[in-house]
Amino acid sequence: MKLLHKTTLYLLLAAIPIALGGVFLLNAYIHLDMLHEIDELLASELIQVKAQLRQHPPSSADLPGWDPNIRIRRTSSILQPAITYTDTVAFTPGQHEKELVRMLRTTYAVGNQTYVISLQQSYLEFDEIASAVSVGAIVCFLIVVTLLVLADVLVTRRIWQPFYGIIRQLQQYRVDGPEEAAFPSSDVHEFKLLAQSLDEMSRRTRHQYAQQKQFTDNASHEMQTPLSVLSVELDLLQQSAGLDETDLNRIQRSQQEINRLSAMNKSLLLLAKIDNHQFAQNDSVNIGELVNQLVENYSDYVAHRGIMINRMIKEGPCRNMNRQLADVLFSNLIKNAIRHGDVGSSIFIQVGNNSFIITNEGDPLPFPQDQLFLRFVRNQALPQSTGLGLALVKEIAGQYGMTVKYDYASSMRRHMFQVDF
Amino acid sequence: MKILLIEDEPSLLVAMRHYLEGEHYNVSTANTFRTASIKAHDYEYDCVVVDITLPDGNGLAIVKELKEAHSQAGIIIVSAKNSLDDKLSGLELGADDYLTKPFHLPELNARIRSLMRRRQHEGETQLVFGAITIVPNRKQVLVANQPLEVTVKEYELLLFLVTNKNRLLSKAVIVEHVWGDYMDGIDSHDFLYTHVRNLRRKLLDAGSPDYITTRYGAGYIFTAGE
Repeated sequence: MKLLHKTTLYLLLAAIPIALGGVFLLNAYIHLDMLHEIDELLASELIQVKAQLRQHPPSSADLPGWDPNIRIRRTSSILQPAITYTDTVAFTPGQHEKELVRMLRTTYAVGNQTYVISLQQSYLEFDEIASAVSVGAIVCFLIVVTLLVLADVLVTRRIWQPFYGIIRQLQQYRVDGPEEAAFPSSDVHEFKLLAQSLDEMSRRTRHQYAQQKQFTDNASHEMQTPLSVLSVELDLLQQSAGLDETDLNRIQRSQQEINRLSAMNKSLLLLAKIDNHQFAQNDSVNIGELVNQLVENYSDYVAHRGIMINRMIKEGPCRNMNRQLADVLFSNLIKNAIRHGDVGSSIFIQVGNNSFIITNEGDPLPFPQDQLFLRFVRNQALPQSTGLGLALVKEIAGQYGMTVKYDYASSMRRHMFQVDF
Repeated sequence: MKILLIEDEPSLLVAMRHYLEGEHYNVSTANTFRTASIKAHDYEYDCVVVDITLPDGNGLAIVKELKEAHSQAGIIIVSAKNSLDDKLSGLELGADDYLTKPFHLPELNARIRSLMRRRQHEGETQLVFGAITIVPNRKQVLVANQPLEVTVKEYELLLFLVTNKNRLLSKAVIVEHVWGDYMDGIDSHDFLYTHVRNLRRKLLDAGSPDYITTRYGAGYIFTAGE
């Protein structure tokens, strides 16, 4: 949800209870005030009635019915002239309906005659006024809130403009992009600070990235050169006369270790390069074609191990990826199956529209299954293994949003790798 | 045959020179960009082997200079970076081959020989070793002038053995040359034995002497006998 929508929503959510509570309080206040006004009105009317009674004491016949709101009757008992106010129900004269009225009751003595005076005043008009005032106030309140929200929307939209600019820049930001990212500055202090901090961060990151890339390149060169020296020196040593079989075996083993070290170095550099996203260039790779070609490359080795390869390969599926990485991904899986497959067993390879599956027969993993794709986890029985092949598979697959699954069917003694692409 | 080796690592340069001189090449060396540039400019070479990373410049610039001077020399780039970009830009500039460090000396020798053959150097259109004749243009093997049927891998294997005759070749080096990088890290090179045995049988059946000597645990030597 956008920040703008969120603030608006919260403003509206706050306005509703305020409005409801306001209606209630306003209504209560108006009623209280109204009661006071009615009582005052009745009291002043009483003064007039009393004056009338004093100046023109009426005969009993005269006791009027001219105003239904004023009733006076004679009484013989002496009562305290206290004034009482009560709420009661009266019939309206014309309409024969009950209505709520305020009634003032008191006694008044003129000479030796005592009168009981009841004055009443209908609430009706006052109630109408009260509701009209309450509703009016709430409507005004809601209009004001709406206008405020609208103003807020407009102002917010304007104020956050630079912020969205920064976000757009960040979305396009590439640490290995050709040029430095420039974050838009603003006259709002916080946004200015944000842009400055991001500028600073981007500069630092780019610098570190460049250094790391440089290191990757240099490390490759610096390590391969001594390995080359070792390797060629052993090549020469091997040609010397007078070496016996043991000497030659030692040279062989040293060469093997150099090869392993070199392969490990290459794989680690490849992993670093993938981590750094240094393989930007993508081609459309025909997976079926690639897998067929890789299987051909290993055909002599497969024949030597007496392994049968069954293929079900669709030629169609193509994926956009770096050709070199695609090559490493699938050749590592195929090589893995051939090396670990039992002599004289079979390997099954399937390329479907969205998946690559390879299975081979063999003993269960000598380590826990969840360590399979970790770096340097390897089967100690194979001395030439670097323990990086499957780590590379995982890393490359991750790079292109593909998933790699592994399973072992113990009943059939088969390992299964599946890449969903 | 004149070769210029350009390499900044002294021990590597000495070893390469030693091996190639043993193959009867006339070897010159340069360990900086400057001396390499001067030598390449002043003398004619049949082959230049150049390391891309030099302390005072990029080896690719030498390739460019040679090509601009219309040099006839074959060019092999050597690089420690197994980077496709370097390889492509090197080949684009006109280099003939690309070798990644670490490499083996017999492999370097095979690359140079192959390059020279492709350029028809000194009319070298066929290799003769005793009763065996190899015609690289037609990928054909003749034993006592009779064509011998061999598979592609057997042909590559024989060519590599003949090119590095009288040298002890380890199985790993042979496998890497014949089967390529894909065999990297494949532990057992025993399967080479099958291929060598088949090749030997075919040569013997065709009437060739047994030139392939096995050094147990080490590899093979192609030689005209003890």
